[in-house]
Amino acid sequence: MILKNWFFKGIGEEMKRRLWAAALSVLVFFFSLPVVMVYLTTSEYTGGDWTANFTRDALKVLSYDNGWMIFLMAVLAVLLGVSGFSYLNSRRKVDFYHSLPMRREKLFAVQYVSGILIAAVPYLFFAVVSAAVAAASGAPGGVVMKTALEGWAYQMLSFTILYTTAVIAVMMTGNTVVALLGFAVFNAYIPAMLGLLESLAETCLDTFCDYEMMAGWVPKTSPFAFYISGLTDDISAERIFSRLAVWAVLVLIALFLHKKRPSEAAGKAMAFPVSQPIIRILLVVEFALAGLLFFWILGKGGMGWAVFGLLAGGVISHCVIEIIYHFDFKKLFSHRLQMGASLVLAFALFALFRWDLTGYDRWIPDPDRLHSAAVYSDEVDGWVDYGSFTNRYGQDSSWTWTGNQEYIFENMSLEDKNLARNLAETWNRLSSEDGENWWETVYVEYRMESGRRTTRRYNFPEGTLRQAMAPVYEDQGYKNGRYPLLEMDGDQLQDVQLSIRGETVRLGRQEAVSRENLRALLEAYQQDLREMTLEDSGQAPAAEIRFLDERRVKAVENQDYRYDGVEYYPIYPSFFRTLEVLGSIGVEVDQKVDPESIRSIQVEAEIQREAEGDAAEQESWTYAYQQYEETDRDTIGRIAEEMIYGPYQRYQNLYENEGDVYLDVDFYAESAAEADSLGDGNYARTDQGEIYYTVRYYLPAGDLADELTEKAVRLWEVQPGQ
Amino acid sequence: MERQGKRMIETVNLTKRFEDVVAVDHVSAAIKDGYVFGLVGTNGAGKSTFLRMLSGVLKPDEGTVTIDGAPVYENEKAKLRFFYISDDQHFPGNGTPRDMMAFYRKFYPAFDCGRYQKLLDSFGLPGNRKISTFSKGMKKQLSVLCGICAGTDYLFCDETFDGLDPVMRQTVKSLFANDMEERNMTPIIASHNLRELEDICDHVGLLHKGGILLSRDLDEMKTTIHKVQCVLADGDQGESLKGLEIMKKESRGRLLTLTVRGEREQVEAVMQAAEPVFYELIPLSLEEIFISETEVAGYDIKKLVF
Repeated sequence: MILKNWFFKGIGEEMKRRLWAAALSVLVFFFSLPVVMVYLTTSEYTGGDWTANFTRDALKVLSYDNGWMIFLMAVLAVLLGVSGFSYLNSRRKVDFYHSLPMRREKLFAVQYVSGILIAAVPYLFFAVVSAAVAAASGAPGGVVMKTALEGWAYQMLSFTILYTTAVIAVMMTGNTVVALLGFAVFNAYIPAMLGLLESLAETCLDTFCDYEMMAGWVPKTSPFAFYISGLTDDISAERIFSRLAVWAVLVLIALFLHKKRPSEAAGKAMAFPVSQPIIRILLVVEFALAGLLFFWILGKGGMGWAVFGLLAGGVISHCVIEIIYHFDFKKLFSHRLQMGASLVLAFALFALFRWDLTGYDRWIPDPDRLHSAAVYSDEVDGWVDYGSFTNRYGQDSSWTWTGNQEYIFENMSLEDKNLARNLAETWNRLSSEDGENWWETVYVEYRMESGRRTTRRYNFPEGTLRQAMAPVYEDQGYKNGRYPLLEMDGDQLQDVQLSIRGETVRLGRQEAVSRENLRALLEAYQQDLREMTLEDSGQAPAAEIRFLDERRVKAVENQDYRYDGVEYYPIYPSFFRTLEVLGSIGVEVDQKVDPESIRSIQVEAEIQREAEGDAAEQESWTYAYQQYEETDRDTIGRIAEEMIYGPYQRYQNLYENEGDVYLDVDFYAESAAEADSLGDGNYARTDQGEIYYTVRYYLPAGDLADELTEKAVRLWEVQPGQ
Repeated sequence: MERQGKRMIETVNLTKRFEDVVAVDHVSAAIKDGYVFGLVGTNGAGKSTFLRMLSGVLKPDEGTVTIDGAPVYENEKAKLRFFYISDDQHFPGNGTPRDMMAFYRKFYPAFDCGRYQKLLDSFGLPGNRKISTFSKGMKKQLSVLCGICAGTDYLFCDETFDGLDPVMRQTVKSLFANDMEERNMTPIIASHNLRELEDICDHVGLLHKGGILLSRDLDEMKTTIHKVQCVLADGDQGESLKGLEIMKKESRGRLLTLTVRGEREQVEAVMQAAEPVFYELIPLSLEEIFISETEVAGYDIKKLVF
């Protein structure tokens, strides 16, 4: 079209052609925005201010992260992308459009932009109308209008990613159904392959744990995942620019393919013959690998099943693709050589993992190339809490957790990086027989001089981890990265909470401990924490302590922590400096429970008994917990001497609880209020007027624990099942 | 009819392959301005492919297509000079004939809307009826009207007469003749039926298996090939006809039917000199000319075209 306004005239004609799509778009946006908004104005809210509640809901509707709009825009993107260019799949239509005096780039521009306008114009119009409705109903006009326009702009930007991907799928194929399959392949191929490789790595490699790396690649390799990932988080300049960049690249690819696409491709499965073997081999490898993995796992690691799965997945997928390529069932076994090569490739991938041909597990970084390292185990110091009072938008909020591994790998850097290598060497020296014991896992992140980060997981048998971790535990880099409290400055400190067996006191506010003494307490505790050995941390603590800065004081008062026990640290018996400072300010933590305050104890002991079964079965044992009520005052007195407050067990690193006896101790209370407070909301009142509450304790393995267990066994033998 | 005789559309070694099939095989042809070029051949001979390359729909694998020396493919100026009517014309957007007028006038500045309206009326095609409800013949008529009214120098017609009734066929032919006369339009018509082209084409190319088997100017062929029926004098066994270039000879009793090559005057001179009992020169149909020409080339044209 050699006209100055070819673009607008072309758009006009294109809109006539796609009138049905435009009508559909108007309809769905009308029902999704103004109708919903008007409906919201009739809502009744049970609590709070109506306008505030309405504004919140109205903003949700107009916002870019409106779930329904995300879904709707994804569907529209595919629909408009495929339908807009599906004329390329019809010889009649291709003859018509390509014989017109209009260059294909112009044709592409008109048709591409028309698809975007069909979505963008109704969306913008109804978003503005909805914002006006919300404003008229009392919502702040500026805020709703800004949210509506921002939501529209960001949604449209994200829409273009999927829309252009759908256009590319049409360009590469010559049939609408195949184009839709192609779109699915573009979105799912690499994530599915990553999933398969991750499954293989997880199954075959002992040290693999780099799930984040695998998951991190998904949004980068799938347009749909990229689309979703951008809408589930806050808008940032980086996100906008990344979307603009991806869009630009995709448009260039689409334009290039449109220009190069032969007109005779209409009606064929694939527009570019050169892409046929590439796509087929890639797909067959993936399906063969999926079949192999499925049957291999189903067959409990049998190689026969693995080969069967490989052949089933590979051959069937190859045949289906060939049928689609040729639209001819008889061609199903075409390109047998390529099928064979695909199967070999799939098996080679499997072999890489199955027999660890790359030496992944045995890899230990070269010390010269290792920049730093971090070590983390859930079995050691698993009680430490990581989080903040900032939400994902950077706003002040209630306590929000951060993943342990995420925090530690971000903040820890061992002073002696070779400690991490030593862990790997120790693991490598373990014999396969060691694998029969139960495992304790250590995660290591190696940061190489090149900037590459690699994560490994080492499973140690029971007992071995203690030896392996002991030197790491004394590294100050480990301590600094493991305990956020070590970063707290005395000047920030406002108050300290001390909790002894669940009874909490604010030292500053309630006990009037001076700021100086609180600072001294923090310094003492930090020093004790730095000098703590792994053996020290295996002890039961005497108390728990929480240091509060200004925000934390507010959190305690406003209950922003949401959960009990968050950010408490244990005071181990070895923490002599801390205990000394506490003693100097008149706080005695080493308090014994008064046996007279105990009404009775429910003893829960694990007992072992022979499994029921026929004589042919081998000797086997089952374990069960037997409970009985201990009321003997003498025994209660002895128990009170030794029992440890139940929640403290989580502070005992590498604690082995075999032989422990668990106790539900009923304490007398003066009043229901006291019982309610100390019993954490649970208390009981007897007919005789006794009020008591229950607290969980445990007895470590030992003579008294054995004695109670024997008593439980005797009682079980008399009254089994009681 | 004004004939300029200037070469306008030219293909050189034009080749197109579809996977293993060579649809058009190194075809070189020149289509003169003001002439009606007929392209004949069986189904699958490559006629449509040739026209689709002429119209810039398909990109040649080898060779070139030019209009006045300008390549056609992706050249808006060159493409403005022709209108392509495919064998199964598409009408976008479920529109009406009036919608098509609005559409084409945006692409072809010379589109004659007044004439289009008149022709719609004279052809009895309702301007506001959905084209999708038209019969096959009505769609063919409409596509021809669009093509004629586009005002282009060339009109590429792929099996356009197929589906038209004899009356409509004659009407369309007269429309072509009118535009050729008035504005020197050059139709290029592909057909599998040689008889359809006989009374309209000036030049015919015979396509077979992707290649041009024969390309001749009809006037030239008609003036240089003649059919002679004669009864020779008693005792004359044909010695008297030695001066003729006989391409084909048939005899029924004493009646001889000869197809001979040469100027009419030369043939008549030889026949008069032979002093036959009777002779006459009968005009050849296009079909007969092609039969004779292709038989000489060793082909049985009845298998190729009819």
